[in-house]
Amino acid sequence: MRIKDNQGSLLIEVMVSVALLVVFAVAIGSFAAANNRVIASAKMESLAAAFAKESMEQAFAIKEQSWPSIGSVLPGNYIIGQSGNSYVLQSDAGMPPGEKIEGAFTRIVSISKAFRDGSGNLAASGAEDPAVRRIVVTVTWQDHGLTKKVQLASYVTNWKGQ
Amino acid sequence: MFKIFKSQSGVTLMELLVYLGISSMVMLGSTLFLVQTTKIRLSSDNQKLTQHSSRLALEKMTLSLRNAYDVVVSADGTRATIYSYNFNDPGRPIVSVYCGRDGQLWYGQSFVIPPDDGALSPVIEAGVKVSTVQFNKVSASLHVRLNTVKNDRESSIESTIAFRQK
Repeated sequence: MRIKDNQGSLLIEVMVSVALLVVFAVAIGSFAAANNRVIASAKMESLAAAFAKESMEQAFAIKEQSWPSIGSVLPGNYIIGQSGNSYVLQSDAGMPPGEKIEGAFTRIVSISKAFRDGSGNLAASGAEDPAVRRIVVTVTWQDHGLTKKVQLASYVTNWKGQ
Repeated sequence: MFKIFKSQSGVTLMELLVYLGISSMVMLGSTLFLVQTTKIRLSSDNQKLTQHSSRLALEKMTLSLRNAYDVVVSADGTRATIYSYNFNDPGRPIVSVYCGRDGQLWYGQSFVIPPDDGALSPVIEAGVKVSTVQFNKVSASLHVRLNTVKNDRESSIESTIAFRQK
């Protein structure tokens, strides 16, 4: 058997190879970790949006069944629960407020009065419209030390189907 | 003739063996990587298909419930009959039926009375199996739980859809 060059590699060559390998490995690892974080964040955001939408639909269902159930409650934070075949608003006296969902999300359903300006448009202030209530659903969660949130806001009215 | 190759001595057996060993390992690694990524892609496609099918079904139900004035859910929760306003002919309400059975979600629509089971058509595309359909009427809303399966992947979607109540 004949091998022409038996000198092998210099230590510096081995070190350069190892360094390059480490740099590539770290780069690929970081990319994979960042990719996983983005996927996990997107999943959490989708879930939060679904939970917020669920509450908004429930609030709409409550008012379709009985306007006073929403129209007559005091402005504040509420939790939407179920009693028999009906959704009911339960006062949220928690400190901090909110309903814990799946151990990761906090959902706050806030009901407030609605106002109209001189032109009859819905506005931040003005004359109260007793046939309208503003619903804001906020879902928050922790994502790598940051508090993230999805918020949906809508008006419900004492008009059928609106 | 020009001298193209400086050395005509060829490669030794050891060099050839080392080359074959390294190239085999590279080929094996590449093949395993390809097989694995293909498996993941197929699995991901199945997951997307189940989710897509479920979303389409829920979208269809949302449209059916848009002008509904009442919903009747069967005792076992697998059938929802939706009564909607017919703006063209108010005396003849539109009746839509969603029914989960035989691994499929079935849908049909008629006027005044619910359509026969034989007239129902599948909502979920072929190849995707419906493992669970559960309807629950709460206040003026229909709560739907829909699980779909394709091969190794399952999708579970729950949704609350409000409707107008008479």
